[in-house]
Amino acid sequence: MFRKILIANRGEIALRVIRACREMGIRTVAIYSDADRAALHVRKADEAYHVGASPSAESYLRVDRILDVARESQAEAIHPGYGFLAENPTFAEACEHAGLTFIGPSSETMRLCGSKTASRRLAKRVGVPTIPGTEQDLTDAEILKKAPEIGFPILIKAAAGGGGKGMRVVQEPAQLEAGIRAARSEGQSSFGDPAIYVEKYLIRPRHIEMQILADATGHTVYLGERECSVQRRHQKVIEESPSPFMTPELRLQMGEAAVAIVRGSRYQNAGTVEFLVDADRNFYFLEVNARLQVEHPVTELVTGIDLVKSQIAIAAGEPLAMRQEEIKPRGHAIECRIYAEDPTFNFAPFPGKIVRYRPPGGPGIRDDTGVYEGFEVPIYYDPMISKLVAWGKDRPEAISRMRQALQEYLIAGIKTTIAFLVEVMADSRFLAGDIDTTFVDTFLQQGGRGEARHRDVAVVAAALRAHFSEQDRQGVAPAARAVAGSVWARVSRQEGLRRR
Amino acid sequence: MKYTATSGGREYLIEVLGAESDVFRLSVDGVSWEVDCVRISDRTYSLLLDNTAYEVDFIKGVSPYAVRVKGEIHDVEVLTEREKRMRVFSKKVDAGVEGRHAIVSPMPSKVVRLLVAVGDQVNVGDAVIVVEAMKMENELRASGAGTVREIRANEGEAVTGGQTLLIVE
Repeated sequence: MFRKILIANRGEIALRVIRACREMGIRTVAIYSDADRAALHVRKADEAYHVGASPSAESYLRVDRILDVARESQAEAIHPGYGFLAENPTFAEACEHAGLTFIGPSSETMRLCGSKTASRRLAKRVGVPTIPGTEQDLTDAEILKKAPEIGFPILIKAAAGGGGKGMRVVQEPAQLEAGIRAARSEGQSSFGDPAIYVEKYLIRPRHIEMQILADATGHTVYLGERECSVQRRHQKVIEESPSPFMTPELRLQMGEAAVAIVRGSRYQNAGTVEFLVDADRNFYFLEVNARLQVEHPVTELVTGIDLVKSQIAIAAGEPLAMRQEEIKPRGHAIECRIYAEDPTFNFAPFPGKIVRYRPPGGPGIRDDTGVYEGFEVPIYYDPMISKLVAWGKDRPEAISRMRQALQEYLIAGIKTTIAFLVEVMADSRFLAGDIDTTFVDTFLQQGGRGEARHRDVAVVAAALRAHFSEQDRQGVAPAARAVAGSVWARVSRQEGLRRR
Repeated sequence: MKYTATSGGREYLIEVLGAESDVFRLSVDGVSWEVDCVRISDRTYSLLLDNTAYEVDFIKGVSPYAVRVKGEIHDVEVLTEREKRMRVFSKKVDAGVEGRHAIVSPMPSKVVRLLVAVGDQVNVGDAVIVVEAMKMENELRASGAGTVREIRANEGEAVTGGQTLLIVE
């Protein structure tokens, strides 16, 4: 087993990996940028090394600096987390060359999975259905010819894209040329690659993905699905397991399809196979995410399997002990991603200092956070600050636990999407499980419920707050008892001292 | 002490008549309220109104406050009598420069691009400045028509939330 692991990431996922390492008695090495000196993952690690200035390109994406740190700290393995360098084959290869174990699949597997066109070819080869579309990076002329064959509406995708970026829907033939130009331009500027391919655009599909684990011998299992259809601009917002749309037959088919694809790419470690599922329960392969995903907690809660510890064990050469028949999901889990964004201002990012941080508690509540009270949320990185996960014996219990937990959750000083998530948890369509990838757009269009039953209490509390400020300003002794350092506590302490 | 609170498009007149330990006697638009209020922390109060408990969190701690009660978030602006008088006064002053619009940065960010120069004519809704935060660019738009009078930020400059970037008149 490794003695020391370097975590090439930040925020909540870095802390997640640190915790798994601590459980296993493995020493942890954190890396940090200028903005993250006081970050939670730095505070909790055994060792921490500065890697560069705040912008990611100058720190968390610096392969050379990270390998220097690995050398200096004598780390034996690197966990890349998600995002940043997690699916960068050059990085995985550099680790391999440096004699470090990369906790994830091989660089070769990553290259295959990272190419949408190559992975679609693999899916076809192992007999897994794919969305009608092209398999190669085509020229404009070829696309113009193929598009009518596939049928409109059509989706133009950047071959090097991912995480919901680099996609464009074209409704009619007349818009196709402009769409191609724009997609190539975005592909070039966002990913450094103008190659594109096209697919049929499915109407109101569900995004359902399968978690897999594979060891060095090729023994592969699937750990059930995650429903990730609640997305805003192709970014996941709420995920759950199991999917309310799933049937045992469909789970078996999709699970076996995921395993077939993963085996075909000689995959090792944790990974996720994404599918789109239409209203008739036809499923189509989308892509392989060759990394641990953000939403892995929902799978952990329903299976009881620690995915990060499994990743570390597999990377250390341990065979996967579990058999497919032993994996029996129990109950229902939902995850809400909490972003530092203002839902009333088109979800614009809202960085700043967290003045008060009070996470929720109670049975079945798990909070995977990367922040703390007093932390200055930086402007340089993704605005997700924590993941709140709720487990219940069934979906209604998970939802009601999530709703209560969101209402308890206090994050003051910045704006967050908590209020928006509370409303979704009360939405009748969400409660009925009637969700697809159009859910958030429709939900936002219908407007918030804007409950105002307690406005008068809010107004009175605000007036009292203003009153206390006024008294402070005028130098009057505070009228309301402050629990922290209360007058009573002070008096009783003095009394106690006197009696002795 | 008298306060004017505004929330949900409505004004409330609140007077603090007296206090005895934790209990405040208030008049809210002429109606008597007895409010037991304890400050749990600088951002959380525990209110008891007729034995009904309300935990109140201040997501935003300065006026206009963002107040959360039982899952509802309400924006409440509170002015003292003096502040209310000042505001009426400055409105009178501004009336001399009616139609003055400030474009304000909604959050801490970096100015990426100025789309106008001093002297340019803009219409309502025209994009005037692009700011960037957390890898996302946002175009800020003119809330009123007129001429760009002042530009108070440079390209590449980091600005705070609420900072005035541009004046149109």
